[in-house]
Amino acid sequence: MALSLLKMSFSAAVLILAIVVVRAFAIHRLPKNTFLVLWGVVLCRLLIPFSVPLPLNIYTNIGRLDGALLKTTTIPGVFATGEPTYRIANLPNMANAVPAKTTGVFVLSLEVIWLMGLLACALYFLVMHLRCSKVYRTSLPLDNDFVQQWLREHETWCTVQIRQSDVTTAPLTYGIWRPVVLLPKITDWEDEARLRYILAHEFVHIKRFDILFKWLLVAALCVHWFNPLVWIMYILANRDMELSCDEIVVRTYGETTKSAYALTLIALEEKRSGLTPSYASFSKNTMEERIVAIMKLKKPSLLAILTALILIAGAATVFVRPTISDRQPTGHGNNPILDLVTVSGKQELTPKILEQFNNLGVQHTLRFAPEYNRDGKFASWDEVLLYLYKSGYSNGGAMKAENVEENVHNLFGDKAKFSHQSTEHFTFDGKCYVPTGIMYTGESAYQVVSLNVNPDISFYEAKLIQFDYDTTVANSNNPNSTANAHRLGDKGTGNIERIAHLIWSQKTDDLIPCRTIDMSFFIDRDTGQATFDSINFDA
Amino acid sequence: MNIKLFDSELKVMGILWQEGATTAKQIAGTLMEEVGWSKSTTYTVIKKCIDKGAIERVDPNFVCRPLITKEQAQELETTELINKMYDGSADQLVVSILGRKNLSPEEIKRLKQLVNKLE
Repeated sequence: MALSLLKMSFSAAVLILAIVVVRAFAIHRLPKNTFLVLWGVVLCRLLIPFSVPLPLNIYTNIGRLDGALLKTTTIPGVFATGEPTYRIANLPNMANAVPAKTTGVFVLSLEVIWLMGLLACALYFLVMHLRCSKVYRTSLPLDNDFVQQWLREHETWCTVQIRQSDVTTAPLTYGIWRPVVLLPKITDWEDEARLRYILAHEFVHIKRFDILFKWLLVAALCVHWFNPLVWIMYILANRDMELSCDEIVVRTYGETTKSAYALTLIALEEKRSGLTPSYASFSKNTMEERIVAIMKLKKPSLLAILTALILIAGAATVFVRPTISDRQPTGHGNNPILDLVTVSGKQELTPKILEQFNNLGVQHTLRFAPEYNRDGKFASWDEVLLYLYKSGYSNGGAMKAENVEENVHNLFGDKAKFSHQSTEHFTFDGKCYVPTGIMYTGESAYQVVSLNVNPDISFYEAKLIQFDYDTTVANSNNPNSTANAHRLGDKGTGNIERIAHLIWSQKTDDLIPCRTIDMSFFIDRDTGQATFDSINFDA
Repeated sequence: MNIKLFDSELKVMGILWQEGATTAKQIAGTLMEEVGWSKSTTYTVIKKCIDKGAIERVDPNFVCRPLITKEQAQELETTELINKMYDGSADQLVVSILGRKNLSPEEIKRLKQLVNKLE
């Protein structure tokens, strides 16, 4: 699971704090490598955006509706769950459904600031590195028997050069791929013992790829420049690298050489200028820490080693995070946001609703385009006409042929094929479809049963009941007569359940020219309740 | 003029003192073999020398001409050494050199000849 930058930074910060505390108390009692490993763990946390999820599966079941509807009303239960007849390209998906325009600008500028900080840090380190590189490259080769002998004795994975410079004042190592140990000209070439220590120390840096580690620290610092604890880590990790080199040198040559080595350091007085990572060196202020550390070195006790291992294991847990899985079992309509029984009524705000609609007090309009097919085909031309008629665009009057054509094309695309003809409920007189025996009363032909989230297609979808007409009585002579006409809304036996898909979800102007159902609801900020307006039809 | 030259710059000057005026390209080639400097490194050092007034650039071909002789450079260093370490008195330096135990017989011979010349 990819983590956000802030989460990474925060968990790393906590870890850094813990390490700093441990270090303050136990720096001289634990092998110094411990802290390097710990810093390594922090580095991984800062640079690697993944965690190992430890899922605690809690399936949230907000009102599963399967079958509930069937039980309460008598519906033959024909589910139109086939493919939608059409898709409109570039539909906003769930995530975009909630208008976030007001917060968008704010978020963008935070990211810009972070990026600028990152570039500034990166630029600084790059410039410092280039400046130092220039100096190192003008170094001259060293022709010293002892040094050459040392090189022959201590082979590493690649050739190491040892050079001298009259510009530098302290021994240092630079270069990752072709490491060079740079000794200052003022070195006492006769003092072989001292030379041995210096070279041993620098070689530890080389063998351990400390320069690479330093650059990773810089990278982490650039990315997390806003986190002061990361700066602390940078400083301490550099120090710990030196301390650990000292430790290895003393271990190599025996504890009796402790004072000799310490004196060497004092004599050398390695300096670190600012925060340049190009070379492995040290700061005058922390020289004391080094001397003390060297003199206090002793064989690590079993307890110390165990403690070290426990600390490292503890640190590694920063990569594990318990998660609450709220993944739903897949399938249509298993995650209803709103369960509606009546069109207009009150709906209690659930966390799910709040999650999706975080702009309370704003009117949301969810525009749905109802599926209108079974098995991918039109059921009948009559059904199409009925559907158009019931939507009310003609206000109960006859429907003109060209309007019908336009609406059909809007609904079903340009490729929809049909031919004008009379049907059971409509008479085609060449120009219009005249309703026979049915009457549009303005009442809603649809009842919204539930508003769900369909994870398969990341859409909202509404389950609707489309009421059928009770058409036992027909008045074919006078279709406009209200006598013997039956009103919509009667719960006849022909009610059909339909699925309607969300195609737009904001209060918008009419952008989508098709026959759609708008379901408007209003969430009251104070009462926290959702009030539903009646269903409107796109006119 | 008081030109302070670092080791790297002295290396470049050394080539010029030995060979006379040379193109920068040739200097770079020689130094690449001798001390392993990249072309850009050599050019950087040459530029430093030019800035300090030790080398003059002659175009075409970026020919480098030394503006200071080896002896002049040596004298500058010696004077600085005398002023810095020997309270400005040259004879103290000479005493110090003579007092060293590691003078070879040839060196002693040459010094004696020098002293004779000055008398």
